[in-house]
Amino acid sequence: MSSEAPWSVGRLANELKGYIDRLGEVWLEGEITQWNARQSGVFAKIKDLQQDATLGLTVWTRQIPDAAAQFKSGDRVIVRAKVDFWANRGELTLNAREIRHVGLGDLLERIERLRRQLAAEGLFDAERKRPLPFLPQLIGLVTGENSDAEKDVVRNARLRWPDVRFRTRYALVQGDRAAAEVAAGIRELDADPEVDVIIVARGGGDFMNLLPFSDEALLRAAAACETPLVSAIGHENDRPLLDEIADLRASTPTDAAKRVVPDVVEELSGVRQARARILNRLASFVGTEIERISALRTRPALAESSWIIGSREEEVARWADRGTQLLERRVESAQAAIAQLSGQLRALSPVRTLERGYAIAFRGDGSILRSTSEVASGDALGVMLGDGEIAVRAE
Amino acid sequence: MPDTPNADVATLSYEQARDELVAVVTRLEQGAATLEESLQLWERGEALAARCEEWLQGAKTRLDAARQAAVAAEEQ
Repeated sequence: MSSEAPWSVGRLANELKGYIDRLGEVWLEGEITQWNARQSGVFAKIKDLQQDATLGLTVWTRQIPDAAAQFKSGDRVIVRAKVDFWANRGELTLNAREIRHVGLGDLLERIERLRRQLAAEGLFDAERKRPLPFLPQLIGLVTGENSDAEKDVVRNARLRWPDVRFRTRYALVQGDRAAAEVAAGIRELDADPEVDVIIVARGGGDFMNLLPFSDEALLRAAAACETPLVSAIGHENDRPLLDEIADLRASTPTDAAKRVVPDVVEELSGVRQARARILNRLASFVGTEIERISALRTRPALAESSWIIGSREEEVARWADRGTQLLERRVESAQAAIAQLSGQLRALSPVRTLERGYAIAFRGDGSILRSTSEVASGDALGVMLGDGEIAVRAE
Repeated sequence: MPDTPNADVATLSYEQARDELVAVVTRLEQGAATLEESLQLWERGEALAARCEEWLQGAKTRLDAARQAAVAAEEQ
């Protein structure tokens, strides 16, 4: 073939048709993006799960009678189809021979495999969990535009802390583009230095709706996120794997708001209480000590120093008194002894006898005469009477 | 002996001063000391008591200031 000998369109079309016919039947997995049911059959589009590739799919009623009601747009399906090339229109369509939902069991098993793999890589480890900031300066929010999830997060956060700020990245939260958009939102907010916590929020949904939040690419983006990440996916039974990767798992968007934003009133009252307790504690401590010291102060030993001198003065005076008393007693007893002696002395005196008329004769040398034989005539003698002495001469 | 034998009292913490004060009062009350010792003990007790009161007064002043600051902060 060349410009001198070109192919006819028909020939190319026939070549293509021949080539495509040789493909025979194929098995395909994809998501239904369009599902138009007619009398004769359903004219649908099926899209690749990852890349941007869509093919037309025709399901003839005569071939699969109840297909129209069994499937709908958004379903993930496996199709056995014959590829047809329509030479007259230059169109290529899939002629479905058999179509079925991707089994729930298959999906669960795939998620379970992914869960085990990520767990083995350590992406769920508790050590990887970053603590949330106590008071976030700027909350990054990835959620559906105008979704209830967004309203729930924002309203509950503002109730608790009116000054809270958000930076929101909208993403589809359902369907085949959801995982990629949410991952992009996370990456963008993670790159923003102002954002210090990221919430991924989506309202409740069934297992199929929440599949994007178990998508491996999204999970790896979440694991790579440096900013603390909160997963707030409302779910029923099986929670999406994003819950395992996130630093904090909130049960609902409302719960996420409560756990990310502290309650301003509660916090202030906590601070107030703590401050009051500290002050009371200190005041009572100081009060107790003041009483203790003043009690010590008023103890007699310390209250006045005079007792130190006073007690000793008393002691000295007491001893002095005792000395004086002892001396007086000695003098008194001496006086008594003297009086007794002088009485005795008086009783023994001869004067009384002489006063009664007795006399004592004595010689000039004083010796007392007791016998007549002691006296010779002419001796000079003395006679003592009661009131004096006279001199006499013996005859 | 230095001129001011109780100068060290100023360097004691509140608890040190208080505990020593208790010991001094106890010794004075037991009364076994000589006159000279008693006088010295009494002087030390006075110094210790003054130190304790100084500490407590300071603490009370600071506490009151903190309370007023807290009240002022509340009112804002």
